[in-house]
Amino acid sequence: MDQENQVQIRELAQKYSDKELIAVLGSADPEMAVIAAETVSGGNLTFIDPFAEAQLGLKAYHIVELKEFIDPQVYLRHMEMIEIILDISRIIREVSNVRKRFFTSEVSV
Amino acid sequence: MKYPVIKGTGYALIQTPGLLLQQVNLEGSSLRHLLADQLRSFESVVRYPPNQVFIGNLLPEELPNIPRPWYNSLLPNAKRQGHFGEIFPEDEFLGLLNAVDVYGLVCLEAGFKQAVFQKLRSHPALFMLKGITMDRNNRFSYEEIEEMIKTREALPLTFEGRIIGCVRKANVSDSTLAASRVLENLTAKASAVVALQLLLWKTGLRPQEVDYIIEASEEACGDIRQKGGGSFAKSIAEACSCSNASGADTRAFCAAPVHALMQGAALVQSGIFKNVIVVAGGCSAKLGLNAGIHLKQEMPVLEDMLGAFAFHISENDGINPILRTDLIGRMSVGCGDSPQQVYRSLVAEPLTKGGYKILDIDRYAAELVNPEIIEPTGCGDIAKSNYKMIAALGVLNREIDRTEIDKQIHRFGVPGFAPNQGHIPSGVPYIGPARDLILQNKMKQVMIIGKGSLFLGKLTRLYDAISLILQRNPRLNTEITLD
Repeated sequence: MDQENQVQIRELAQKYSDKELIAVLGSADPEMAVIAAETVSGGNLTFIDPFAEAQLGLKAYHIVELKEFIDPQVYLRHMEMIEIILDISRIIREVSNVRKRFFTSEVSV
Repeated sequence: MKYPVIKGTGYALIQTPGLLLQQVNLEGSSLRHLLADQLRSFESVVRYPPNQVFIGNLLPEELPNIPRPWYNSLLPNAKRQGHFGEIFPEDEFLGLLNAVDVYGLVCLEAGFKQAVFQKLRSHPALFMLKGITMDRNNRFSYEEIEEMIKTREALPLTFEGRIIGCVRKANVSDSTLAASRVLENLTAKASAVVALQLLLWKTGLRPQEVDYIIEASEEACGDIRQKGGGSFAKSIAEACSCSNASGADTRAFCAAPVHALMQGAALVQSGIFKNVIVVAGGCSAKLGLNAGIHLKQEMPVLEDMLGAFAFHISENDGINPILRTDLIGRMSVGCGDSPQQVYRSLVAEPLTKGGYKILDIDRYAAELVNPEIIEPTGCGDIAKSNYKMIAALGVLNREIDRTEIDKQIHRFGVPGFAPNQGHIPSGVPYIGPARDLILQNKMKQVMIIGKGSLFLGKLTRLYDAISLILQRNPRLNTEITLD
């Protein structure tokens, strides 16, 4: 996640409450997804300045966790191919673990 | 259709640890002293397997057989001269910076300049450069150089830790012409000149036969009123004595080289020009880009290299591989940016149009950055990520069985070996090996893919991608094999 994106996310998080906002991740790599999830949940984990003091407290979901909320045709058009190479179960496990770590009341979707 | 051909290639690598430390300083990083201890020797750079691939002494396909980390698997008896190009040390490059500078902005100490020009005069490809044969007698003492650095905002140039020159700013008040920008732009120019000069020398193409040059780096030269005005292309043509050539610059971030190849091919096929050169030099701002991460991983600082390439596109000679100008894959504005849509446009559509399947392509070459450089940043093996998408597209099209994804990626994916991120790795480092393998009838066709992060410029949130196919010349008798 580049610095400018982080600045934008921080501004949105400050403007809207965490009840109105979630972060949706698209990384194909579970480790990168975890880093991004930790960054928006907890703050300065990517060693980039804008988040140094901020605790954004945003919940992050990977797009594959939100499949049931998306029109199946739209989801297929964008995701059918990449699902072939994604380690979906690992992504869901690791990203939901980040939520459980930062938000004690969290349950998996 | 009279497709144009890739008639020749030239590749150069230049080790510039001094420019790397300069770049780190300019960025205000505190890593300078740590980095200075982790810099590689020129010998280890020459013996580094991915660098030997870049200059054509080793095939990229051989890299996976060499144990990682490659910086611990240095090759014995490696040479700086290669089949496609050469690896240069920093002192020779600083001499070249001076030789291609027509405004007297690169000032070298007299003794250093004399020694390095002597080396350049004995180089078979570089001795004939105008800046070497017609040396302007601008030599400086250490005292004069120190004075310019202290009082006139000149940037020091160092070799092996010692200040041996400086770069002056080109205008009193214009930040676009500050010493740092002058150095960045002359670095791109000088390294491109090396690649083109190597191409001319290796292929026998005479400079005056070159009609047009398209430069495809990621730099912008101009002044405060026209910051990216250009033209690197014409300045490179001038430096290489291409007296009948003109040219212009093409920009599309890391995708630019493939756009430039397509444009060059179109100029030749339409009959506008006979001999077009696509060229790009290296980017000093990318030196040591991930050096902090490499230091943390206790790795050597691998991003100490500038890469450069030059390609000669010419009329169909019945021998050299053709550029299939009718099968260009591209990412239009309306294409969207999910991988599925992108790879359909980029790979499936041109293949379908040509009557080919995914597995008919012998090799795909995309984003060929060396994985050893990029994996520690957490981005994974970028080249391989592209090939996974192509394999997944094959599964979706029922051409590849899901259980065969890894096997197919290994077969058709060209491993990364380019020295940094950016325009240099954008598929085109494989054109040299591909041309040879196709001429030797070991392969039929290769797809070269360029991808560019347009969003970095903040004018659009889009990125870009373009592909083209290099194919065995159908007029070439299959019984003839060429070395």
